[in-house]
Amino acid sequence: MIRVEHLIFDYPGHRALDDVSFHIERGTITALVGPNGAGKSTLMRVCSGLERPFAGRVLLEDIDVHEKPRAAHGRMGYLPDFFGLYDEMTVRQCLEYRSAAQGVPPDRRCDAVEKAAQRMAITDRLNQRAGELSRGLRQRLAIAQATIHDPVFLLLDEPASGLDPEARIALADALKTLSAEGMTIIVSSHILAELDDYSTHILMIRKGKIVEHAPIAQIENEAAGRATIAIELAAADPRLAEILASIHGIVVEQIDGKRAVLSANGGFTSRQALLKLMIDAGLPVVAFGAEKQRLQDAYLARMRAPEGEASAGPVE
Amino acid sequence: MIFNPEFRRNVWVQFTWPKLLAAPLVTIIVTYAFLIVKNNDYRLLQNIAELIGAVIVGLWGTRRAADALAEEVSGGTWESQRMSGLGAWQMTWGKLIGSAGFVWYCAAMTMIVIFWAASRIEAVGGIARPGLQVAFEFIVGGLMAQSVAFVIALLLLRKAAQHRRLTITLAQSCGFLLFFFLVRGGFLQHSPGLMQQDSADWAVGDRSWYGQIYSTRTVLNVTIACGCFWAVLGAYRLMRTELQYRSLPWVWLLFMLCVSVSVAGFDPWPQLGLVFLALVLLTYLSFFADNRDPVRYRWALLAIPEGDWLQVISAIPWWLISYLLAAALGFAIAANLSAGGGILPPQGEVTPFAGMLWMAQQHMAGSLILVMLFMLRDLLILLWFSCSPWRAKADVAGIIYLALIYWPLAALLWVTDEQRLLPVVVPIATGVPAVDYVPIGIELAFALFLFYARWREITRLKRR
Repeated sequence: MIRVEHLIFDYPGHRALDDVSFHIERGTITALVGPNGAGKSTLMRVCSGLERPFAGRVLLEDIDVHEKPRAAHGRMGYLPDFFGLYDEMTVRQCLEYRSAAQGVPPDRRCDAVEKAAQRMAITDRLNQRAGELSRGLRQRLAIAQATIHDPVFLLLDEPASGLDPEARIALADALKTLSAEGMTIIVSSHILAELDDYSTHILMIRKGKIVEHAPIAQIENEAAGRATIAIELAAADPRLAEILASIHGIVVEQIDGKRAVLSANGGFTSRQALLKLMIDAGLPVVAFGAEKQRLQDAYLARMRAPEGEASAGPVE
Repeated sequence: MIFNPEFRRNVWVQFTWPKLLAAPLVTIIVTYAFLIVKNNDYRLLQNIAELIGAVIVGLWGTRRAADALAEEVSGGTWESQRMSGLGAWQMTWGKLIGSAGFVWYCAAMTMIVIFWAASRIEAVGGIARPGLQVAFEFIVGGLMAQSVAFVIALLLLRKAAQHRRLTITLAQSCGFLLFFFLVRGGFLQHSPGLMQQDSADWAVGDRSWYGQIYSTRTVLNVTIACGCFWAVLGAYRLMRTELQYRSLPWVWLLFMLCVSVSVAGFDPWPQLGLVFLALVLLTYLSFFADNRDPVRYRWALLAIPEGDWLQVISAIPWWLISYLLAAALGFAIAANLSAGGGILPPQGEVTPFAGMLWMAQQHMAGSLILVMLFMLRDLLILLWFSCSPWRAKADVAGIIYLALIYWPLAALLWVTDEQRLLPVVVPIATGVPAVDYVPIGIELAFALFLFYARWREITRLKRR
């Protein structure tokens, strides 16, 4: 579907993308994650053809995005992080304009407007001015605009930022709807907890380099082998830190005398052994349990790993 | 035109029914009131209407044209537009005409008043300005001014999107001043005498072009029409770049050739000195117009060993082309003068400027070579600014540098009777090679060192 080959993008004195390559399969939703300044937005902009890379290329169904930008733009949609709307125009006018600008034939524009509005559940707002919409509705209108021409590939840069929980749930539903229609989507976000609700793949970027690109299920399976365990004592006990420090194979992530969070290798047997050790030592354990180990932990593990160790290579 | 989505969007936003009705209503009321107060003075009505029309087209229209892009950028809709299926022509026309759509509607009202007043003047045996000329000035001159504002806004927004208001005001001012002075004749057209009496054309007399005599009005109309053509074409080419099309600089090259050919026709100097000066001016203008992105320059340099000439040519900065053309012409003129070509006649008064001009004429060939070397030094220093950490302020720093380095020092040397040292600060040859070329040689070496050090620092990243 979309193939990115050896992208290099420089700002003066700073390499924003450093030999970035990956391939995204049709119909997937890929979560693009990374710390601030990692190069997520730059990657989005280069993939969308808004910026020309120093080296490398982006192929959308064999169309070179930078050689034939118009042809590529006819097949993709993009929503930047700081998007805007024409506030004086009604929702219908916004959608009509966008459908015409995207080259939807005149006889199909009405249907396109209806379809886009329906898809984003804003049909009841068609005659309302864009400037009067709430943040969540504006976001939905913006996505409706970006998808009005039924693109095969959609790029969304931080679409959930600033949305309330209800709007985020609506956004997740909307993305799932678009994916179900066969759209291939890349979503960048900081809100990792919600990405695994709708993403099928994850693309992690750090300092302009891809450190991981894999199906989310695979990442979670890998994470399951290493559990995060939370321990709570009835009262603070200095021996907790001593005992935990003496055990091989665990990493203490947080400790405050009464509570500790640690990550440990192995399954239930080793956890049982750890609990036994603490009870035998006379620690007043009142809570002991494995925390939900999901995308966020996998992300943090990759991002904290020394450079060059985290990369799992691109998914082909 | 109405099928252009960008134009239609502008129509939706600007043309509301109340506004559509208000414009003619206000025009009728004001015209009627004016005629009552001024006792049916149709000539004054025509002149006032022209003045109002000029303000509408030249001041308001240029503002709208400059704002067309700035509103998109600040409103966060520009990226979506760049991603749309609209081509560069559609986008250019849709924005240029569309953003000033209501302005043109109001201008049409004033033109109706102008034509009506003219018909009334002629009905009583008077002579009014030709309607076709007035329409030409408004439509072609207005479009030229608005296109220039649009082009400058496009250029400036690429450089500093954060200084939106300043950018818009600067773009509007350039468009308006061009309209005011070139199309409307500046203060000549609106002098109290002309306003009260016959609406005589301010563009009087004849001009010689390649030995042929043309009326000033004809020359001016052709200049306005050509200016309009190049401004619209420039807007289109810049829009192409903005929409990520690969653009080769052949239009800039053609523009320079066109300017050179046009200017050469008026050149009183047989050695094409005026053309040379025009190319020098274009070099500096294009330098400041360029966003001087070191990354882009580096693409061009790295594409040379790879033989990717399309990349090289598309990334080559316009100012470099201008400089090379100016330098080629400068050397050709200098060689011609050295071989015994004519020397320009000295000027009369010996003010510092006139005196320096006279000195330069004594050693014209050397002075021309110095001009090229001084330009090279300036370009290197200005590039050094552009590659610095405070590159966002490189333009302002560059303008201050140019203002300081040329005039105050030269004037100081002149008033202290140290004319022999002038080649250190201005491109005026004295005929003594050691004085003429050694100082600028040292300055050039220093500028090159500064620039190269900075260049290496910001381009240390290697291509894989």
